[in-house]
Amino acid sequence: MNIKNITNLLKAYFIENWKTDLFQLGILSAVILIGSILNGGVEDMSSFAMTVAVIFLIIYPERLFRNLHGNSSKIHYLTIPASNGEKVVANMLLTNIYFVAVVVLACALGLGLAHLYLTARGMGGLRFQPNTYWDRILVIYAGLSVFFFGSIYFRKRTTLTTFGVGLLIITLFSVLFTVTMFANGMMLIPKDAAFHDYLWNFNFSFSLSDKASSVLAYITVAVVIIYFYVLSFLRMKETEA
Amino acid sequence: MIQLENIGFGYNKKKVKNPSNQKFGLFNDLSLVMEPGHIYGLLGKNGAGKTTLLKIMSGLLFPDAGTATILSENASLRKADVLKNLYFLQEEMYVPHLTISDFEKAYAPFYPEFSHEQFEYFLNEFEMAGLPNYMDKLSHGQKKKALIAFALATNTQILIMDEPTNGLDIPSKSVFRRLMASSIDERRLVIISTHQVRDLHSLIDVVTILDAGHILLNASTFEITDKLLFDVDNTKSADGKVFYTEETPRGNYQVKENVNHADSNLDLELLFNAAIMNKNDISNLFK
Repeated sequence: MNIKNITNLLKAYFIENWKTDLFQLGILSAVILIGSILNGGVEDMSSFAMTVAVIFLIIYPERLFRNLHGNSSKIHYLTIPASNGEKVVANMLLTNIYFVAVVVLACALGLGLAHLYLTARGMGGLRFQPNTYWDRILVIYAGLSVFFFGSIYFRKRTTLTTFGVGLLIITLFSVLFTVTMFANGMMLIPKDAAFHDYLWNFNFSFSLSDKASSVLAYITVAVVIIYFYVLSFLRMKETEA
Repeated sequence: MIQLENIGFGYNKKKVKNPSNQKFGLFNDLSLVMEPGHIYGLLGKNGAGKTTLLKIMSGLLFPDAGTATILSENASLRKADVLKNLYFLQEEMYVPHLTISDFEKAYAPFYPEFSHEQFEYFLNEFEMAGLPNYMDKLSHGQKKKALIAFALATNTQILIMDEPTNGLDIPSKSVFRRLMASSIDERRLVIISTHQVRDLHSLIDVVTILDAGHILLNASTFEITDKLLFDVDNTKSADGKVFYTEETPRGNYQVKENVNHADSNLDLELLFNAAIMNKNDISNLFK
């Protein structure tokens, strides 16, 4: 792994994409600004900002490997003098640090301007505390790793296809889970609880403490992230033009 | 520098065996060695697999059998140190939405031997210097000239060019030949795949003809003119087996066995036709 090659890849990305990124940052900020002003008076618009940010973050990784989606651009990208691993690492840095920073900056900018506007109009202010969304940020990172893999694996409409396949897998898994549960006569759903409430509050038979559950959740997310990045690297190695 | 050993390759991976006993479809047991200090002309009919062969050499396609070695490394690994010494100029070029100057800023740092001065010089020769336009807005020929200038300025040990003169105007083809001739040295290997044999006639010093998944001929121009005679109306010699004749208003052009070791000028088009029509004879002659 050569740091200089990774730096060169990042430099090439910025030279090619800084205008697009600046434009998208402006769009994102504007959406958050307008959305926040239209909901003027609601103090905490972070959820709205985060939702918009997540949508942007999902769309971003598609651009990273778009070079792999056309024959001539694929040859160009694969013959850039950097190893497969260096190309994956450079794009991981862009996805997990640069894009997240750009999106957080856009949120802060949009909400900050909205706050100034609403305060000036005497309509109250806004708060933006991304640190309170730590758990969700981790899930977003896990999601990014999935979409990162999708952008290498699928050749067309990568975000949509990855989303569709992910949804299909989750649906199949849920059906399988439910069928297995009923087939085993495990009528565990309390009669007075709605099905989704039951699933939401489902307790495993081996009851875990809050701390252990939390650790388990972090480990699960970390495993998902590592798994998809390793898979992305392996797929990159196997990519032909 | 480039070594292909017993390469087997086919695009249809499901049909591993076909009735003509060609195990992999496109290439079967193909072997080839290419050495530095030469400009190889890779010739072949449409669909013969020229571009595929170039891609296998560059690690862009993985052979189903055999090994492709480039600069002593397995080509399929696409190692950074190998790619730093390899430039692949495609027929269908990819040009990003960048000016030529920004393209240089973005991609020159990857090539340790890249020379900005040479790049400027080559652009000047192609009358491309100072163009403010974005590369993707240039004409096909202009894009090609910009990328040829970049490719030459990288000073990579291996330069692979797929149909480099396609889309170039007549003066640019002359400039291309001149720049190529001045860029070759004993440490550099250039492979040019082309149908435009007349454009590169004076440039190529080793001819490689690909046919039906095999290397039909891989010989230097010196060896070719030593063994084959390119004659018009038997003016040079009436002896030797005639492999190919082409009637033209200027006389009967012939390719025949050079039994008397007479001097003649290589004509790539005639050579190609002679080789394709007399595969066994030509193969045996150059064994």
